[in-house]
Amino acid sequence: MKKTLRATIGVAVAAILSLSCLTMTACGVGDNFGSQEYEAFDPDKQYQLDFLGWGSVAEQRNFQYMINQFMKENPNVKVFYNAISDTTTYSQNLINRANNLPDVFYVPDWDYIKWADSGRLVDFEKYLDEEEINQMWQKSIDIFRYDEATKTVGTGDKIYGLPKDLGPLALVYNKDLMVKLIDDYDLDVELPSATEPMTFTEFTAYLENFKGLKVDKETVIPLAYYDVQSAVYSNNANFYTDDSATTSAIDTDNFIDAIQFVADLSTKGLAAEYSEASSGSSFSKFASNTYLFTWMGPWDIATFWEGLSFEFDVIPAPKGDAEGARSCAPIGTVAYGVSAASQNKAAAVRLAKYLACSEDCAKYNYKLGQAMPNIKDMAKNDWINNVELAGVKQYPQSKQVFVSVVDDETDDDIYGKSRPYYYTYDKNAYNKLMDQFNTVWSGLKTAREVITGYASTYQSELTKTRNQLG
Amino acid sequence: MPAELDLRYTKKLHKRRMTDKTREAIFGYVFIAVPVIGFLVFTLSALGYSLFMSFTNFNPIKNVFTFVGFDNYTSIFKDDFFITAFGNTWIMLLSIPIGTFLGFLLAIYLNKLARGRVILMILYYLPAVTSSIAIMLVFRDIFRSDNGLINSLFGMDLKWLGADPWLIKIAIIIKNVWGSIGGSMILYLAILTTIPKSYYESARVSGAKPLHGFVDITMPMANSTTFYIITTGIMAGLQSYADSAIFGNGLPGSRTIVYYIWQNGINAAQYGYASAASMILAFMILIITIFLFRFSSMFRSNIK
Amino acid sequence: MNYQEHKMMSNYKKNKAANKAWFIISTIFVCFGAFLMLFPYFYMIICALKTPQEVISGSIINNFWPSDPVWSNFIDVFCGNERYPLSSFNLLDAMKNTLIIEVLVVPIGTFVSTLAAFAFAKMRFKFKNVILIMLLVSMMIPYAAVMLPQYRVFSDMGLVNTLWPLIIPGFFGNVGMMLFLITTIKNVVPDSLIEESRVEGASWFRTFIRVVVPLIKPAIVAQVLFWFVGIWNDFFGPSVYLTDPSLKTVQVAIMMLNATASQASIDMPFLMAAAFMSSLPVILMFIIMNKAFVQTNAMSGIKG
Repeated sequence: MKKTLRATIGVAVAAILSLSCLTMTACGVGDNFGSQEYEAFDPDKQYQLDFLGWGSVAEQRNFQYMINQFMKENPNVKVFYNAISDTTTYSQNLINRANNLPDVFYVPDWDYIKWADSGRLVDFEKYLDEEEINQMWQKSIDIFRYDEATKTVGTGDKIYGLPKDLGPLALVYNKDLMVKLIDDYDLDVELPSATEPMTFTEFTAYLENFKGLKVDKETVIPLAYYDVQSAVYSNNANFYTDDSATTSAIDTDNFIDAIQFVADLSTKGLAAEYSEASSGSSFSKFASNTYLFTWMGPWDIATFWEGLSFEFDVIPAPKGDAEGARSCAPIGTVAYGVSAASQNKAAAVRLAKYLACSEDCAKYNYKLGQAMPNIKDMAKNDWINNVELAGVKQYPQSKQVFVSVVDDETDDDIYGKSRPYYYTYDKNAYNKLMDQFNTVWSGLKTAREVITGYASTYQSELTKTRNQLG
Repeated sequence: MPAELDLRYTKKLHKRRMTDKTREAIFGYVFIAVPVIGFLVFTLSALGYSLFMSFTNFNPIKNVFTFVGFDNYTSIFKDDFFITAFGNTWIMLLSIPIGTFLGFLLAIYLNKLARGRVILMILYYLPAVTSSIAIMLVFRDIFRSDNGLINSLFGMDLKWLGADPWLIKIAIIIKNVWGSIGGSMILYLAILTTIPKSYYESARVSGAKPLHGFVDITMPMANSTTFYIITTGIMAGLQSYADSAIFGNGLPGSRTIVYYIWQNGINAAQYGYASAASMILAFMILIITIFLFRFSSMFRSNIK
Repeated sequence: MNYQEHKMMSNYKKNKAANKAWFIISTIFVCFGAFLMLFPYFYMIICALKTPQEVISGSIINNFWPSDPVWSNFIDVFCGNERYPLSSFNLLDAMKNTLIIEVLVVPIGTFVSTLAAFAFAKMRFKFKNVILIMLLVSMMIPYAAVMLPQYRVFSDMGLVNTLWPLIIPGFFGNVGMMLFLITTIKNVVPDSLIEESRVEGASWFRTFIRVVVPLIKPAIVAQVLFWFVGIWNDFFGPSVYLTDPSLKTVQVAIMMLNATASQASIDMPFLMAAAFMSSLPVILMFIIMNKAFVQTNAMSGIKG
C-alpha cells in the first residue's frame, strides 16, 4: 500500500506539473484586451455581432423583436442573439469567456465594478454626445461611470455601460382588497398617498389598522416583508461611509434603528416572517389576497397584469424617523456593455445605443409593461399618462412614484440609490451581513446586539472585497 | 540427456510464459488506454491548473495572478460560512444509506416477483427520469409552508423552506431518498439477475438452506453493489449544488460546499479561492474513497 | 429432481404460509411506495393542465384538480404558441440535440468503459490499482475546479456553442460505469472461464466479447440506462457551453422556462408540460432496455 501510494503521488505530481504548464500557455494565448480607440460606424461595411443576454422566453422574444428592428434599420449589421436563463449561469459564462467576450452583452449592476475595472469594456464617452446624455435620466448614465483613480463606481468620466432599464422599487398594495377591508370593517382609513411618503411610525400605525382582519375566512397579513435596503437608505443610513465602500457604517444608530424597524414589523405580526417572504413566494401570496402590501419594480408590471385579478397601485417607500431622512428606494440596473476587443466595435456600440436610448425601443418596452423608459420625457409624459396603452391594463395609477425615485431634478423627498453590492467587487460582504440578521428577523436578538458583535468582521469582509480591486 | 532435455523444455516453457505475461500486460494497457488518455487530457490537466491557481489570487476576468501561498486555504478554514456549508453537506448525505437500503429491499422483492415487475420498476424509476428542475419545483410546492401539501395533509404549520436550518435539510433528505430509491433498485436488480442460477444450485447441492443461499451468495454480491452505490453516492452527494441553489433557494440551512464554492468563489471572480476550496473538497472525497476501499471487498473476487 | 431439491421443496411448503404473509405485507408497502413515487409525477401532469393563475393562487389541496383542463400545453411545447414561438422555445429541437449527444456518446463510451473494466478486473499488469484510483479522481473533483480550464481549451479550439464539448469527453468512457462493471466482472465471471477461453486460443479481445460481455449484460444495461438518463437530465454542462438557442439541450430549454433573471412569474403549467413530455423518451428507453433484466434471468434459468 505504501509503495502504491508513493507511486501514485509520483505519477500525479509529474503529470500535473507538465500538463499545467500546457494549459497555462493554452489559456494565455490570444488574450487581447482590445483598445479604446474610437471607431466610426461605416454604413457600407458588413458587420456581424454576437449579443449575449439573459431572461425568460418572453424577454428573449421581445429582444429578438427589437434586434430585428435594428437589423432592418441597419441592413449591413447581422446580430446573433443568445440568451441564458438564469443570472448565476450568465455571470459565470461571462467570466469563462472573459478573453473572448461577445460583442454586446449584459452587465448587471452587481458585476459592474468587476468589468469596469477589468479594462475589457468599451468606454462610451466618445460615442455619446451631450444631447444623448441629456435626454436620459442622469442617474442612468451616472450609475455606469467609473473612476479608475479611486476605483469607485458612480463617478468619473469613463462610462462603461448604457442602461437597459432602471428598476426603482416601490411599495405596491392590493387596491380592491384594501377598499373591501375598509368597507367591511368600517375602518377610518384612507388609501395611502402616492406623493407624500409616510414615516416609519406612520406606516407601522397604518398597517396596524389591517392587522388580523379577515377576508373569506383567510387572515390578511398587512405586509409581505420590508425591503432592508430601502429601510436603511430611507433612515439616513448607509452600509458604507462613502461610495468607495471601504469603511463600514453599519454601527450607526440610524442603521441599527432601520434594521430593528424591519424586524419589529415581523415580530408585531404586521409582516410575514422575513425568510419566508424572501423565499420568492411573496408574489403568489400577494396574488391570492394574503398580503396587502408587497414590493414591485416597473419590470414587474406585465407580470402583475397577467397574474393578478385585482387592481393594484404603488406608493413611495416610507421614510425613517431619523433626522434628515428622505424616502429612498433601491434601484437595480443592468447595462449593455461592449467588448473592447470586439472586431465590430462601431456596430456593437450602435446596437447598444439603439437598445438603450432609442425611442422605438423605449416605447416597445413600456407597451409590454416591461420597463420604465430611459428617456426622461417619454417616461414623464407618455408612460405616466398611459399614452398608446389602449387595450392593456392602465394601472398602477401612480406610476409617477417610479419616476420620482429616479428623477433627481425635482425637489421632492424621494430619491433612489443603487443596491449596496453594486459598490463592492462581489456580493460576499453584503450576503454575509444579511445572514447575520436572521436572528434579528426572528426576534431572538436585537439589531444592536448583532451589529455591534459583527461590525468588525463586516469591516474585514469589506477590506477583503476592496482588495480585489488591487 | 533427459535432464538436458528437461531443462531445455522448461526454458522454452518459461520463455513462452514470459511472453504470455507481457502480452497480457500490453493488452491490459491497450484496453485501458482510452480512459487514461481521457483522464490525462480532461481531468488531470485541469486539475493541475486549478491546484496551481489555488496558491494564487487568480482573477479570470483580468487574467492576472500573483502567488499568495497558503492564504486561500487558511482563510477558507477561518470562514464560518465554509464550516456551516461543510456541516450541511455531511448531514444531507444521510439520504444515501436510507435510499440504498430501501432500494435493496425493493430489488429483492421485485426479483422474486413474477408479474407486475416492469410496471413497478418504471414507477420507482420515474423520479430518476424526470427533469430535476421540474422535480425541485414540484417539491417546493409540496413543502411550501402556506397551503403546501405536507403542511395541509398533516395539519402542520412548519416552515420547511424557511430560516430553520434543520427543516430544510429534512426536506432535502426526503426529496433525495425519494429520488434515489429507483437508481439503487436498478443496480441491485442488475446484480441479482446477473448471479447465475447455477450458484444457488451448487449451494443447494451442497445442502445449504435457502437462507444460506441468500447469506452466502446474494449478500456478498450485493455488498459490492452497496459499496458502489455508497461510494459514488458520497462522491456525488459531497458535490451537490442544485439542492441549495434551486430547491433551497440559497437558504443558509441548505448551502453545501459546492454552493459555497460557486457563490463565494467563482461568481465573485475569486478563482484562486474557489480552486482552493475545490481542492479541499476533492481531497476530502479522496480520503473517504480510500477509506471505503480499504474496508470493502471490492478488489477481491468472490467467485474463483 | 434430486434428493436435495426434493428436501428443499418440502422446506418451501413448510414456510409457505409465513412467506405468503410476508409477501402480502411487503406488497402493500411496495405499492404504497409506488404511489409516493408516482405522486409528484402525477402532480406535474395536473399542474400542466392548470392555468398559470390557478397554480399561483390558493392551496394545493383545495385546488388540486384543474377547474378547466388546458390540454394545449402538451402540444404547444412542440409546436409553439403565441407566448412561446418556436424560435424561442422548441422542445423537439432540444430533444434532437440531446439525442445526438446520446447516440454518439453512449455506445462508444460504453464500449470503452466495459473494455477497460474487463482489463482492470481480470488482467494482470503493473500499476493497475494506481491507475484505477487515478481515474476515480476524476469523479472526485468538483466541476467548479475544472470548468474554467476546460472551457477555455474548448473555446480556443473554437468548439464553444457546438455540441462537441459535451460529446468528446464521453468518448473516453465513464469512470462510474467502469467501477460498477469492475465489481460485477469480479463477482460474476469466474477466472476459470477466462482461462478456458484463453487456452482454447481466443485472444483477450475475443474472450472479452464472447465470454465476459454476455455474462454481465444486465449490469451493462443498467449502467447504459444510467448514463442515458444522466445525459438527458444534465443541466450544468450544457448550460456552460451552449448559449445558441438552436443548440439547447432538453434541460437547458426547460430551465429557460424557469428563468430566474426575470421576476416572479414562472409559467408553471408550460414548464411542467415540457418536463413531462421530455421524460417520455427516457421512459420509453427504460421500457425497451428493461427486457434485458428479464431475459438474462430466463436464460440462466434454462442453463441451470
